[in-house]
Amino acid sequence: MQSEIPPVLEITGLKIGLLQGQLVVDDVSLSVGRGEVVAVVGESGSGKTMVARSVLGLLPPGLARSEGIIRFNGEAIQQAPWKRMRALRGGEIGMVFQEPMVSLNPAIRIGKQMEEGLAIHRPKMGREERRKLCADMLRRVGIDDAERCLMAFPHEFSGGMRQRMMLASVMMLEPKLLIADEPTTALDSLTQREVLDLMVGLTREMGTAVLLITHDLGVVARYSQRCVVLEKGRLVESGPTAQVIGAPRELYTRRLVEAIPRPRPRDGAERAGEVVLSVEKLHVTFRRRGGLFQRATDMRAVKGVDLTVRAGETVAVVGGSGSGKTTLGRAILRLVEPSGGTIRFKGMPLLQAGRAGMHSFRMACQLISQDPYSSLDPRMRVGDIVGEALRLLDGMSASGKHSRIEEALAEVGLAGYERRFPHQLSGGQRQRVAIARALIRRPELVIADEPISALDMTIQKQILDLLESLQRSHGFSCLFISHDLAAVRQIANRVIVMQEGRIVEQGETEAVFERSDHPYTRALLEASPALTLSRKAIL
Amino acid sequence: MSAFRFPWRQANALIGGVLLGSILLAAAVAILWTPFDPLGINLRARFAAPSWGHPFGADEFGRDVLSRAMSGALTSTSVALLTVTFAVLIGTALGLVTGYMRGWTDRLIMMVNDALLAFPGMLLALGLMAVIGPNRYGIVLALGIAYTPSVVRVVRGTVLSIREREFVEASRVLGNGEVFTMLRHVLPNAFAPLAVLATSMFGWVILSESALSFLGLGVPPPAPTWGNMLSAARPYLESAPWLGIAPGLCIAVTLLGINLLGDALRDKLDPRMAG
Amino acid sequence: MGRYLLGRLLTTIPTLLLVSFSVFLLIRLVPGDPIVLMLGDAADEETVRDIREAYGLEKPFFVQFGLWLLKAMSGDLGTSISNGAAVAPLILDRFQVSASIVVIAIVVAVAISVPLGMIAAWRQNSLTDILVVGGATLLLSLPSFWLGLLLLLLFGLKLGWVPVVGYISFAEDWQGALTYILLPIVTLILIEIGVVTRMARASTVEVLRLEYITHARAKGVSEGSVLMRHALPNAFAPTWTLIGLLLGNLLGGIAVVETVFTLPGLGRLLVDAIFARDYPIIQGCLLFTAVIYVIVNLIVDLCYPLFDPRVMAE
Repeated sequence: MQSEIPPVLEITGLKIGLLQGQLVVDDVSLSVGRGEVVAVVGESGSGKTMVARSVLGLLPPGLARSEGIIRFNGEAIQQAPWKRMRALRGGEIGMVFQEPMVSLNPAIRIGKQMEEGLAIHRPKMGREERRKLCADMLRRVGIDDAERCLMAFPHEFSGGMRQRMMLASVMMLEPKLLIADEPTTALDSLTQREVLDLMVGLTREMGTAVLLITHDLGVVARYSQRCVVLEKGRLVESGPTAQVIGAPRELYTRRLVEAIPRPRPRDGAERAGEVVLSVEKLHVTFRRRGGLFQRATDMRAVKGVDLTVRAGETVAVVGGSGSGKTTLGRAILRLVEPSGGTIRFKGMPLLQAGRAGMHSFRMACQLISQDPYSSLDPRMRVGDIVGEALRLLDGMSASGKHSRIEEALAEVGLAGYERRFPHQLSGGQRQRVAIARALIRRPELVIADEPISALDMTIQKQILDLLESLQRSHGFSCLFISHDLAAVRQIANRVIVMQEGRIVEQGETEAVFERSDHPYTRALLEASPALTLSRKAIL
Repeated sequence: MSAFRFPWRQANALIGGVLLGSILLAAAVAILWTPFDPLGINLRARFAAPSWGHPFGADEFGRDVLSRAMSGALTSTSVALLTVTFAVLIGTALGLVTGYMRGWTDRLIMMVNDALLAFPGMLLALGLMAVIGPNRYGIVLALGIAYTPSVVRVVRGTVLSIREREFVEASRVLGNGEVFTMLRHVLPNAFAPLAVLATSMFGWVILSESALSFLGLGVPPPAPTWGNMLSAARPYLESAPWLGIAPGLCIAVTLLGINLLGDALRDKLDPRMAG
Repeated sequence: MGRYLLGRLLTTIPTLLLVSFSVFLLIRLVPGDPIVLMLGDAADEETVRDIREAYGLEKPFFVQFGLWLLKAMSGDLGTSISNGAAVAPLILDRFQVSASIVVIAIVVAVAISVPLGMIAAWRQNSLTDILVVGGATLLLSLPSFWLGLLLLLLFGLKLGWVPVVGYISFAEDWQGALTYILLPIVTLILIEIGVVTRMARASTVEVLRLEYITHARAKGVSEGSVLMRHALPNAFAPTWTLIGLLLGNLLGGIAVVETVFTLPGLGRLLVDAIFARDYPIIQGCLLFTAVIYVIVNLIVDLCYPLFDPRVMAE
């Protein structure tokens, strides 16, 4: 079809290896046509970022392209001379990176950083003109106060704002191709939606083709026309997005698609047991200590929250970043002191509880936290980490403890891992250890704070399924704090939506997902690509 | 960028180990045996140039420089070991307390600590030596006090960062008490930066002790230390330069060994920094 | 912005108070009667009583400290026991010698080390890098007084290029003065090159692996610009802080170098005073050096936002 005009980017037989010879990208080919958005999908270790970086010769030290041809508009550029490569970088091919917090230079003003690209690629342009163009471009990405922004340093802005600035500075040069490497992974779902819409809008206006690197099938489905699936450096499947996601041919792709959480029919009678946890008018205030010239200010993170959790049910708390949902969970666990309200655990008022009361609460309420890399003591073995929970249980023999540890690890699929250290485990395995530790004392309530958001997609699915099956067999209640609406829809009986420290809506999961008319809830729902995708897949 | 990755850690550990090991070995041997009595005056050997009998020569009293350097190695390393132990024990205890318990104890200790940190280490040691007077244990005390504040600061900083980590939170949620959490989870994880600090501190102490002895404010003669040997060699620099070579070389070899080992240790504990 | 600077300025006041209190307390810890210490053993009882009153030693401890501090702030650090000379002018005089050596040495060492360290980091793991790091570690491990003796042996005694003993002040004959302080300066430069190069390399290695460097390259910025415009300001920030610490440590430990080269500097003044048990001079030297150290670090911190504007936000 495009026999006369060559594609904007064409990669054939690309191999990238470590210097010792091990391949991280093995024989990958793909092409991006004019004005097209092509997604490269894969989990961590798939080599997708390396493919993106190799186009501009930006592989990290220790990695090198060993074979393969990279053509840009028909011109082979994999061994382009230094000068040509510098002209391509930025001028013809723009690149946006994953972490907006670290991809702008903290020591240089935004304006200077934006102008730098113009100075290189439009040397004839005058200073005034450059400045005007920068300001115009900032306005185009939705930054109204452009003049002030040009004079500011990056640390003065949030991640979403910085990513807009990145986009502005890259698109200002009107490149023929934009390589976006996980451009919104570090942002919350509402911001992610805005930035991606902006990116696709701008590239469409300028006729720029996009190579979009992502791990999120929802993003792929929403924004790309074609996609390429990578696994462990190898190309698994490629083709039109609708076809690859709608009717995957390969096993791995099918697993990826299946990993998208789906709502499942609830087992008829909702378990409505006794109230395990009840929270009334809970307030949490962080006091920011005043400096010499600043009065102490109060930051109210949670403002008068009421909720109940009944035996055996899962209640999800959802909201964007800064909604106070994490603080709520920590306040219930008494890791931060609430400034007002009551928390009752099985009728016992927690805030007035003495030593014995707190002890029994600790025995019965556990936490699974977000980051499995930081939640396990790196100097302890898995068996000791899980077994530490048994230390405070009375009347347990050493052999009894040991068999209990074995049992707990077997339940999470880690039989025989007692002697390992956390750093010898993958992220998913670590989260399993954290789950075993939380559940070994058979708690009545588990607070799970973003338990899957740091994990790869297929692993997310496994952990979610594991939590569900463990809940079925042990019958604990769960307060599931998450920004991932698709996961919430799969696991929760009821949903609480928080915005700026307040509950704006709550109800049965299906009712909220299907019939909510609260504007904030609707915005959250629409911003979740996986959710729209799972809905489509069902219809 | 470069195709060749230099094995920094292995090279540093190997060379550093050999250098420091040989000094420590010499010090250990000196406990039981030295070729000559380090204090034994022998007027016939005055200013003897290096030879098979006196590999490093002999000094103005005919004392064997090799024997004195070995004995000096024992003095310097034992002073350094005692000082580092002193600073690490006291500094860790204070650092843990200030890092973990907030309130008045914390503020008071940190106030004193900051005041001591506001002095350059060597200046503080000089001031303390002026008060204590030159003797072997005075040096340990003076250098110990001078170096403890940096241990306090490092331990406190580490504790403050570790106590925010999620596994410490997890320990609290399990119902463990604060003291148990501190000893079981916080202290072991503060070990890495402490080990790096203690290693380089060993070097600083060797250097400071030599400098103090060189100035005549350290271990008093006739007991040999590398510093006072160098000081004694100064008037004879032209006629008997070997007197100044051996002790200086000993200090340099020790410091190089420690610096290389310190680099290797830091690379091992913080792989991000590996070259 | 003003808040950071002013805040940093104000925290210096309690530090200075604590420092002077420590110095005051330290000398009080010397066993024996302070007046006897001050006058020497030969003083008769009547003089001791007179002085005791004159110095207000009957007053409570903290009042004494306050009086001493007020006098020190007006530039009166007392008089020497051994020769009765005023301490403050003596210290200033000697300080000029030490300061000129230390400041020149640091400036030259930084000018050499920062580019060296950055190039080593840029060519990480190359032969250049290995040589630079190896050389720097070697220099770092040399005790200054030994290196000084070796240089003296070679250039002073064997080659006779520079005078071995003595000092002329700059005011008298600046060229002559230079020949006397050349070797001490070279000694310090060599030692500091070791420290600064390693620091500059380490922080550049850290910075070069950050995303904004890749982003700069992806914009088409040349390697020279990447190093100079993007890496240098960020990599220099830790080195800049190090300079403050180095300056203080050099001043604190300058006595050994001054001893090797027989220079009449501040360090030598302090050590001689310790031998002579001349406590007013000891007290003055400790106070003066510590205050200089605090002020140098204050200046370093005040300039820090130039390299890392993020601190202003906190």
